[in-house]
Amino acid sequence: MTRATTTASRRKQVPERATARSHVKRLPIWAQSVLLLVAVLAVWQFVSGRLVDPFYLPAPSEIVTSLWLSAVDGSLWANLWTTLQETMIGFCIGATAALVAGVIFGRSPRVAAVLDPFLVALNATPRVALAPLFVVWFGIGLLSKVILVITMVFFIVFYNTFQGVRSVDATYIRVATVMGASQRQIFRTVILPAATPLIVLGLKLSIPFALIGAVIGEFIASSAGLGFQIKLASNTYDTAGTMAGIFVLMAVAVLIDLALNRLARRILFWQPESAERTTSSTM
Amino acid sequence: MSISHDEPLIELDGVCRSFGSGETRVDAVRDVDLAIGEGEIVTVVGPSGCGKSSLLNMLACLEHPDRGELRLRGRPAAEADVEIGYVTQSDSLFPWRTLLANVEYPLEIRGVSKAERRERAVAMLARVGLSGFENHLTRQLSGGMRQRGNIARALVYDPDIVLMDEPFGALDAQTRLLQQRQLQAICAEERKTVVFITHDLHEAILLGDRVVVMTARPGSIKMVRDVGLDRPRDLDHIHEEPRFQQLMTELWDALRDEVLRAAPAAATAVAS
Amino acid sequence: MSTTIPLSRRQALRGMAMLAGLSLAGPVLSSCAGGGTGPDGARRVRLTQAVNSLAYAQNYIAQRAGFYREAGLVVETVVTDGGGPDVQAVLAGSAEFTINDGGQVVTALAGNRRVTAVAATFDRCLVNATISVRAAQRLGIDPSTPLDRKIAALPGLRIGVTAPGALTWQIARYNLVGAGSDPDAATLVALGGGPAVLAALETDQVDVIYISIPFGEEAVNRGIGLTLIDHSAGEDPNLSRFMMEGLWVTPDAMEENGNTVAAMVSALRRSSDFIRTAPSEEIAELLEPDFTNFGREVLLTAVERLKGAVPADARWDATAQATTERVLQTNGLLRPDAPPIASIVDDRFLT
Repeated sequence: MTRATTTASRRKQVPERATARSHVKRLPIWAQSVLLLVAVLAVWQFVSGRLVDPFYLPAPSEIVTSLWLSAVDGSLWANLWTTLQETMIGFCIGATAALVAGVIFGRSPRVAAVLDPFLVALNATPRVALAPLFVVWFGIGLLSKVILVITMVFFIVFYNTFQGVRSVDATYIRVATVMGASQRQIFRTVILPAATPLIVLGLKLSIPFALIGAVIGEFIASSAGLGFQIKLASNTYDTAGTMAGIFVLMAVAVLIDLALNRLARRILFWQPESAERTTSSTM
Repeated sequence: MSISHDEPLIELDGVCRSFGSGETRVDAVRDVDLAIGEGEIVTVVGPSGCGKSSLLNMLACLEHPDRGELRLRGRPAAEADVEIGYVTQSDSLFPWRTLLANVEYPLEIRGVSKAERRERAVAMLARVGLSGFENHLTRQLSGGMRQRGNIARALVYDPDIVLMDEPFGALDAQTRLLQQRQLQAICAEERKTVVFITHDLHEAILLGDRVVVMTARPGSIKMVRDVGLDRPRDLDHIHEEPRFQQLMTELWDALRDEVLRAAPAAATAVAS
Repeated sequence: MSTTIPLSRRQALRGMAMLAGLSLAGPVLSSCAGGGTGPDGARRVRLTQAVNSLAYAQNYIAQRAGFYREAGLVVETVVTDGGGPDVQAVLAGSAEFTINDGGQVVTALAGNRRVTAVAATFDRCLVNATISVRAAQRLGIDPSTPLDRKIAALPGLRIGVTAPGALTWQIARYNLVGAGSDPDAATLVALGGGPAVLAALETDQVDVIYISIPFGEEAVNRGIGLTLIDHSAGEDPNLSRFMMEGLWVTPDAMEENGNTVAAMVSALRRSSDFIRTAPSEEIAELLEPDFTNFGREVLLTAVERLKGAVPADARWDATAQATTERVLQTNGLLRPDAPPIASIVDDRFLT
């Protein structure tokens, strides 16, 4: 019901804005994005094989062919599934742990003060350099990648949750206290919803890092996954295959981000629309 | 209207409140004695930084006196079974809730059934003139509407005392006039005990049964005057009444000294 | 396209290589070729190799025994940490030489990108298969088990290799096909370097490892592994000869810097002769500073195996070339536009 009114009022603004724009800009944003993509691909296709050795920069058509072949023989889907599994399991565990920790830290300044130096130190350790150790500690299977993903995701979500919980406007809490809300009710009905925009931002920002974590883990030790596929291609001088793998990664990151945007728009229906868009650009 | 002063609802007895410790200690409120009766509307004026908000926070039980005692219905504040409504200076409606859900909020945390709280919230919104805006988000409302929403939320659970901390301070003059008129109407209907803080003397006289003038920091009570103007008051013409003008002069004389004391820089500027 | 590319275009290509490379382009590309003449009249050259391994024994020996110096060369060895950048550096002109295996180089070539082998340093596969003692017991394998039964045991096992597409990966899959099964019939786990592969066998995370000597030999020495297939001794008749390692240069360098190439070839051949003829102890002693992680005993075992893998004439015979091609084919790595192997081998410096 609430959503209906908000979208209605949004829709009202659109035509007003559009009439003010020039003819060229009347194309919807997504169409302009697609147009830009097509132009880049066209230039690329032209340059490859003419100005640049396709071995170094294979044409988009070659990359598509490579993608198609791996899709047809099924290796793409098997590898994609492996990587997605690692990413999703790691993301869910890491994000949940980070949410809990962020809330605890945000609610009790003493815990935050005592543990802060340790967290700063942990966050400063290069996860990529730790990856080989994770393989030694947690084996060559799913677990080591999941752990790596967790370490990538945790701090981003944690710091955003922490900030979100800490920066809740004190007036809201005062008002709720006077109205007779218990600590528990205040947490559930005031602090959580007020912290949600930052929490959602943290979740969105951490998705690409989760993917990177999984792929780095696969680079180090694996028998399947997109990282494995990319490494196989690069080790056998299959530049097109390498880039195909990288594009699949990009596409996955973009798709997950789009899905999260939809979800975020539902959860954060109360936020002005401009605030929803800024997130991806910080990547 | 008749005001019963026999059994005070709120009693402040030598209340002191200070912040910090040692050399940085600041006295915000000192030796405040005040009794407010059931159904009375008391407005408090004073220079900025005189501890008005601290006083209100103590009444809301958000802060506690260092010395002295606050009694509600004759019992220490902590033990008293008195419901308090609180309207802040800044807009404090929850932006993640619709207007209706905001007004339902205090009922929700009291465990009132869904149907009942909806009914009561809708009725309260109608009282403050916000019918038709139930499903709006706060960012879709004007400043005046939001402040009325705040008032509706503070009244919907039928509190014994309503505390208002400069609720119209941030509004433009015309909007403020409309809000004052509406607040007077609501107060007349609800017969609430109201403590209303303002820096606007005009507003204090318009709305109050009694006006309390506070001194510059540390805040203590300088003067208390009964307004003695009949209700309902005609807000458009009340300033033409002799009693109003007399009060205005008397209270302003008292207030001005405190304002100048609170802001010595401004005082020298005026003097030169 | 002609072989003389304008300078600006060559630079552009180098730039593109770095862009496209992410994993192909290594740090070596960013530095310029170190060609030139030293103060004492010695020629300075740069040589790349993928990792530190006994497969490059001739390079270590030529350095330590002074064969390079005596040939009037100052050789800087660049280890690229994995195959790819090693060949790229030579193609891009930032290094003059690479010691590399035939399969790796052939995959890198297409169009007008060419490097040529001017000398062979090893003609037997130095990647051996080692099985964990536990897996061997489970499968009933002991040192006396015949080869066909050992190969037949591979499908279904977990096999540790260095990286997907690497020689270890290729040889493991080649053996799987030799067992009459699909190359994907076993789980090939890419583990990175030799120490990681060895650790995975030790912790029982894999059943079999394919790794260049002496890591498998180290496992045997520690009592955790059993040599399954000794390719370095030519145990598998399907892999008796192989274009294991050789010295590669660009055709341009062959024409323009013939003297330098000849000097390199002679220094490495002296190393090869040394490996073939000197007592094992002496060779191990020379290699020891570069392989401090292995005990003398393991090095000695490895040196014994190296001795049988050095071609006396510094050539890969027809069998070696055909086998290399077959290994590539088995793994789907022989591009249709790849040059015929005979065309990238040149024996003009071997007379």
